[in-house]
Amino acid sequence: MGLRQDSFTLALVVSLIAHLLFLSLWGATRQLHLPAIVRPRTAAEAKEQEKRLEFELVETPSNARNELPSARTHLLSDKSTRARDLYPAKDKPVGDAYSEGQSPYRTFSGGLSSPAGPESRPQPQPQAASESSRPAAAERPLEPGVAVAEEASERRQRARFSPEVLAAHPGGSSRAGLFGSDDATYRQVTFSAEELGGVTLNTYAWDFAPYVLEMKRKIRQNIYPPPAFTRLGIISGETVLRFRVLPDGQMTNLEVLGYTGHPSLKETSVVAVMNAAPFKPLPKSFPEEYLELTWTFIYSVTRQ
Amino acid sequence: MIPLALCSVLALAVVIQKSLVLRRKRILVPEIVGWIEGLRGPEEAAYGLELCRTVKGPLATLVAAVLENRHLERAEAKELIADVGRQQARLLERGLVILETVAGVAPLLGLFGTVIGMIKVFDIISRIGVGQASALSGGISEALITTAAGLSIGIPSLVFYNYFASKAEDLVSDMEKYSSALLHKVSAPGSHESRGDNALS
Repeated sequence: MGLRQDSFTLALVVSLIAHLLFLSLWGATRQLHLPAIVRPRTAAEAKEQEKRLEFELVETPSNARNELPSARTHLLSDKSTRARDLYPAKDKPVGDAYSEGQSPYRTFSGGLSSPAGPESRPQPQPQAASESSRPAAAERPLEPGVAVAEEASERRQRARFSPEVLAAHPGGSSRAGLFGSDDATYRQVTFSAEELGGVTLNTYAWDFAPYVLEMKRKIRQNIYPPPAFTRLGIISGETVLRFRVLPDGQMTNLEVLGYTGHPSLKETSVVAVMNAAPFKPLPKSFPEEYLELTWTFIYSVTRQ
Repeated sequence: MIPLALCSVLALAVVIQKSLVLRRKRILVPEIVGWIEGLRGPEEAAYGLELCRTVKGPLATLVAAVLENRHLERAEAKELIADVGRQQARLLERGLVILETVAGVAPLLGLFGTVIGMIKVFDIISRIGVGQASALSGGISEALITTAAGLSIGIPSLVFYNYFASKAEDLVSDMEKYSSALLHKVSAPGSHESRGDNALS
């Protein structure tokens, strides 16, 4: 009997040792294998990886400031390009952030007197928010080389309004006749690029446009507002964040300059930026010690 | 995770102990088995008793009980050695109940951990929304790890429990066979009870 108990105690000790050994080996293996797996990969694929993620830095021609960017560019370079559509307004002066274009969205443009953005598009932009933020984005550069980053509403109320409701809406503007049209696209005379929703980020310096575009894409991928905003539309808010990007891409000095509305939306914005960091290293030609960005995240729910 | 770790340590301890204890040569000692098979009559019982004193183990205990009670009536002797045999069988199966319990409880503990983890995840969702994929995936991953750990402890435990239970049963059956044969060879002549009774049952 005593022998059996002894053997069980011995087995228990052996088992304990085996577990400890397993845990320590497992930890060591994870530490050892990770570089062993990753290192060759980074060595072999580093160039390819870099190539894949590399953004193209377009050399600024000496006369770039005087020429219009390409109409087909997907880079956000200045406010002309930002607002550029397939059908630019020929009668508008260069530099105005609007143009005449076509959009599949049954949306509205013009002044604040227009009805607020209807719900028939996936990510409608509230008219008031877009109108109020547009001049700010266009006119308020915070850093040399980089202007204002702006986050418009990311998630929107789902469609709840039929075209008939829209057509019958009494607050329609002078273009209300278009609302009842069966045409798939809607002509918009004063089209705001920001009405496309999501993030709009512009810089006056063409050199860094690809960089901020990449940054915008990364931050935008990390914006996940709570369902109370995306689905229910019962909360809204606006957050202004400021942070710095060091030359190696690290993000520092993240601060909330202010927010209105529901605190969870502030948290959404902060976490989006934190999760997006670190960014790509700043272009070598970046003139400052760091890039400081101020973002305005607007979460607004548009309802009739 | 701590209860699961305890379960794992206990289960492994039982597996190690049973692997050592339930070896065929350790239970069915070849010397005793050989002696029983070569036994010609009751006159050699004295040597057997001597053998059982030198060789320890369940079979030796059983054989010694048979030899010491060989002069009794067969029914009485069978009843007595059945008691001894039951004790020895119980010793062989001791500890298996731990393995069986671990096999049953570990997956449930893992599931319990997952449920608690998911509660935490939904708590996070209620606070920051479903969007923060990194925060949520971390919580969900932690929650699922407990189920994985529970299953990875429970499944081997069940396999080993069935293996050792079957092995113990085999050994008990063999001990029963040898003790019956021995009783038949050394029992006092003239006793004619039914031979089909199970000595250890």
